[in-house]
Amino acid sequence: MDRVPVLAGTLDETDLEGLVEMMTLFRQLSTVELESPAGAPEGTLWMKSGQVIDVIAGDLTGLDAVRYLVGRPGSYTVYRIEGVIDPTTQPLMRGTELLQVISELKTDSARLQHSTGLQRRGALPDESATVVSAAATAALVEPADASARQAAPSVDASAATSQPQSGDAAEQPPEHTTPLDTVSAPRLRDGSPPDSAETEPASLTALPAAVPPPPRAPSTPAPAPPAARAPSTPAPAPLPAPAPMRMPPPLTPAPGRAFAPSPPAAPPPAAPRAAAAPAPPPVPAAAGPRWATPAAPPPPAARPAPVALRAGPPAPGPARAPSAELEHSASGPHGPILAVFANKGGVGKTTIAVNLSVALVRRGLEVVLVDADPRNDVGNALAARKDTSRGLYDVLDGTVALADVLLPTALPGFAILPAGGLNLPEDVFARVSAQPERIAALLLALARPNTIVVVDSPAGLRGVSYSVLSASTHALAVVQAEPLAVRSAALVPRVLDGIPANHRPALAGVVLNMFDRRVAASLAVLDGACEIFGAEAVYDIPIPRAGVFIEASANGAPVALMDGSGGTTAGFIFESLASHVLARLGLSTPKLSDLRLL
Amino acid sequence: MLSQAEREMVVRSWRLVVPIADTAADLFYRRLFELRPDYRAYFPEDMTGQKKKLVHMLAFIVRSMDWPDSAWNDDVSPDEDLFLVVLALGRRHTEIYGIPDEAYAPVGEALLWTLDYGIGKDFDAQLRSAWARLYGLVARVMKMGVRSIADRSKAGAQAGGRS
Ligand code: HEM
Ligand SMILES: Nc1ncnc2c1ncn2[C@@H]1O[C@H](COP(=O)(O)OP(=O)(O)O)[C@@H](O)[C@H]1O
Ligand SMILES: [Mg+2]
Repeated sequence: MDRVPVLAGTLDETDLEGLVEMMTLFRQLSTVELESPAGAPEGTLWMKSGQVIDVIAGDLTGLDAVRYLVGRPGSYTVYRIEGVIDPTTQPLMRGTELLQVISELKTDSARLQHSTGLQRRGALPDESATVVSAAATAALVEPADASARQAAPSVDASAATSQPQSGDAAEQPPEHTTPLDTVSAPRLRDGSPPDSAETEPASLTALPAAVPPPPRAPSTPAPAPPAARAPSTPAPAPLPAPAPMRMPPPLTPAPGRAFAPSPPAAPPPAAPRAAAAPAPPPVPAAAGPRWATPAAPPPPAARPAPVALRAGPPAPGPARAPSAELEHSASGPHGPILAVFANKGGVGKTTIAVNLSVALVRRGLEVVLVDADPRNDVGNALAARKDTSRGLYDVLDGTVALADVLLPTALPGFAILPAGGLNLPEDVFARVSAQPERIAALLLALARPNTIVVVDSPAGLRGVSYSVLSASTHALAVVQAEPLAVRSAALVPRVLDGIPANHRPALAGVVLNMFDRRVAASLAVLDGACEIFGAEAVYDIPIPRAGVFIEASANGAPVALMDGSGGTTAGFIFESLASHVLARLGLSTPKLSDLRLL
Repeated sequence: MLSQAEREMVVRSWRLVVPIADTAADLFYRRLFELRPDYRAYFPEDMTGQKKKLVHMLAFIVRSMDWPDSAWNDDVSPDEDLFLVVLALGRRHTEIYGIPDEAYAPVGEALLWTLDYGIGKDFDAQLRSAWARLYGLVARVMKMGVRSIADRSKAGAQAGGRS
């Protein structure tokens, strides 16, 4: 087992707390070795992956060692250890828990020092924490001395209060969510463990006795005890000697913490993989101000088939449909796919997608509302009583059938495909999000004739939003009636223009949301939007900023279905918006005669 | 101190950034140069590559927050180790790009602004402080980079990562 020095410095620049916090970022096995100002070894802290494996100071281990080490001046060296930890080892506690302890100890010792009038040795950069004199610290941590224990009230108290819990904990599963007190109690109490403890491997973290106390052999370097929890490891591999030992009792590995020999030497650290990762397709260089001009995103790599822009016979079917259930998508005419999008979050895309869908359904059209935003807000906005944890992203992943997650609603003709994906691991989620072809095929599959697919896109104009846009026949832009939002909306036409013509959705209009006629800025925004998109594209009925939307979303209802509190007015606005949209989609509103109930 | 809950929050919120990552990178530098026009000189003329590298690195940092406690004893190679990667990154910032320590504050501000803008209403006070803590921690390790005892012969190879 090799150790490679990584970092060194003095404790007055970076104290133990700061070191531990930084070391929580280490995934490898690492140690900090502390030395006194005179260069004598003080102690060693073992960490891996944010877990504290052990703390050793002389013959003190665990929290006793921590109490000894906190506030001591000197220097540190951080090492990376090449080697593996015996799989049966249980960490002592989380790094975050240790930080909690350290910060409590710092406050305590500061308080103690204050009350006893001990002399200051120096101050840590953090003025809340004071270094106590070595004598006071030693008194604090002398574990055999009962009176000294009283000097550290908070730790002792926590150990005491946790005493009953430790008993309880024995019954609990050995999760590492055990509160610190429970874990630490055994080490603080430090009685001789009943031998039987070792026969109960199931509660290693929780059982006081399960972590055998360190050999208290101040004068003799204790022979390494048999590795209690690692019967397969013949001999406890020696810990790398932490710095030349000039300290009276040599450090001994804590029993049961056997370290297996190093695997073939790890490769030397290379440049961060992230930086070296293959770059995504190049983005054409932007012209003009660097920040203001979005480069046109690259077209989706491969598409099964160009989507017909208007309802009508689509181009020849895809070479390979992603899954059987999406197969029929390519053949025959299909209905329009309308992406509701914006390059900013929180502007009202979801509100508009939901309420517009409802208005379209009330006009007699069949609507499938697809939530493509991983926030899964459509389900939230409608306070769905059905399971929305699985949906679009799971279908894209191929683990779930579309029919199983397409949710019917109380309104006939209105179905919702939630975003779902809540149980997908991050990497799977990222992979399925980066499949424009599958997204296109899925939307096409939903867009049967006589059905309008409304897609609530995530914020932004790239990634999934870009895939959705280029799979849509039409796009409805949402702009918040706020100056900054309009400035950023200037990007929208350029991005649309950057989509290859055979994938480019027709702009079905621009809706201003959260409009307030009393505010001059709102009016200026209307002008700005007309300038950017052309007056004919901007709907002349902006959606007012109104409490009813907040009330509606609190109740999980579309505004059109709300009585009173302005619901009817807001509903009317969406009815009107629906007419505009239908006209843009080239669909006429069903004739009144078609709407007769009888 | 970055709690487990905060780590999870950061990981979850990153999902909302991924779809707008490129726009976010545009916004980030726009905001940074609004705050500190003088920092423009540190960067190359063509920012395309730089934006990608930043997003990649942020993605790596977030990914490094995302593993269950039960995986604590997994083998992780040194070039996948957040601490070592960030330490080396920091050293390049100081030694090669000549970034002073005080630059981390405006850069952090620009980052939070970008996340606020991009994530919108979900970027509440809690999420903000989680990101602020993570940034603070990463920045602290980066600033320690100059103190790292890396094998000097590798420094050149690592610096080759930029271009
Ligand atoms: C958490 C904070 C930061 C992260 C994650 C980060 C990330 C990166 C990455 C991944 C690179 C690519 C090159 C390499 O890997 O060495 C880079 C380069 C660079 N960064 Fe940072 N950075 C951070 C903070 C800063 C700060 C505070 C500044 C100050 C203005 C800065 C200025 C630069 C410059 C000038 C370059 C080099 C550009 C070039 O010449 O190619 N960065 N940064
Ligand atoms: N016209 C409006 N007036 C008042 N509040 C609104 C209005 N439109 C949306 N909201 C509220 O703003 C927030 C963001 O809207 P949302 O539709 O979720 O935006 P996005 O989909 O763009 O993230 C929600 O809380 C919503 O209730
Ligand atoms: Mg939304």
